[in-house]
Amino acid sequence: MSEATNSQLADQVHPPYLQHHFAEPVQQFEAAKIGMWLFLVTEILLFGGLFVGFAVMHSRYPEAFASAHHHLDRALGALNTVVLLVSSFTMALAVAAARAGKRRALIGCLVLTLTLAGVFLVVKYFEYSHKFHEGLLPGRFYSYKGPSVPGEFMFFSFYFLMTGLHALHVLAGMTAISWLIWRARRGDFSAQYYNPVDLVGLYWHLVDMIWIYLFPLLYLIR
Amino acid sequence: MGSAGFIKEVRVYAAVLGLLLLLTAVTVAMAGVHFGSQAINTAVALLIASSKAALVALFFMHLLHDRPLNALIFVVGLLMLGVFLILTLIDVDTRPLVEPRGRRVVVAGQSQQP
Repeated sequence: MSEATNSQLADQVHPPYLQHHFAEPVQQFEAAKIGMWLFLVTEILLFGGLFVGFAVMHSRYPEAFASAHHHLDRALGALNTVVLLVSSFTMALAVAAARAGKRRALIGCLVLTLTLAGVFLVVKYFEYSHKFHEGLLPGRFYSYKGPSVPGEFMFFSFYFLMTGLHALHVLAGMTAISWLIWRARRGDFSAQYYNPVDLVGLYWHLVDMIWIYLFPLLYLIR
Repeated sequence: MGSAGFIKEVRVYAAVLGLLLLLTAVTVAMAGVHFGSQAINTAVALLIASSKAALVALFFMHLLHDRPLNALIFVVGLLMLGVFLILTLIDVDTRPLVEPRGRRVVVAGQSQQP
């Protein structure tokens, strides 16, 4: 047998992306997914801590929180919700494209997801600048001059911490998606190997899920 | 998976996105409606948010078709968060029963006893 056929056989039995501590590619994929799900649970608990804090303070100072939340722009919040939902859709499409071996569709969907994430951050920038301008700031930086209820600064402490932490996660997701685009253009992915795309997808859907809860809690309920 | 499977998957995701956008519109509309008490508004909003989260988890994150262990990990994580939330609220909301002298009011960095 020629050398070429030998190495092809070797690649089929032991593909280059198969790490040595795994017996088969499927096992590697499933193990990686479990690892990602465990990480996602730690993220849920991370934001969960902030949600619990918000719940406690909201129940303690209902008038302050009710008055403070009127400063948030519901239209912008709803826009951001739609932007992230569509980005989750394009991310799911990217994973499906990877699974079908469609390289150009994969890259296109990843670029779309990245763009929508950028739009989210731009909208957040406008929201934050408006608040800085009005003095609606967290904790001791609160300097709003209009009518307010004592304790409103606490709402903004939670608002900036929760949406800020979420925005950092969006930024990290954008970095990961950019890495995926670079790797996809290099031809690293195929219908047999697209693990990183799937895992970054899971992370991105979680970022979307967290915003799905942040939006009603901060913008909608009194 | 070939092109036919891909298109079928795209159709499912598009349907899920449609539902998600619809639920978003519903939750924004519901926020303007005044139910009996604030608690009902909150419950409705959280119920809709949880439906959206379930759609994302089951379809976009493939939990419906994956091995059950992934779903188990996710659900147990949520249960732990539930325990955290419920026990904390029970603690904090029943404190007036244990501290009859009243709450401290914190205003812009100063704390005063009412």
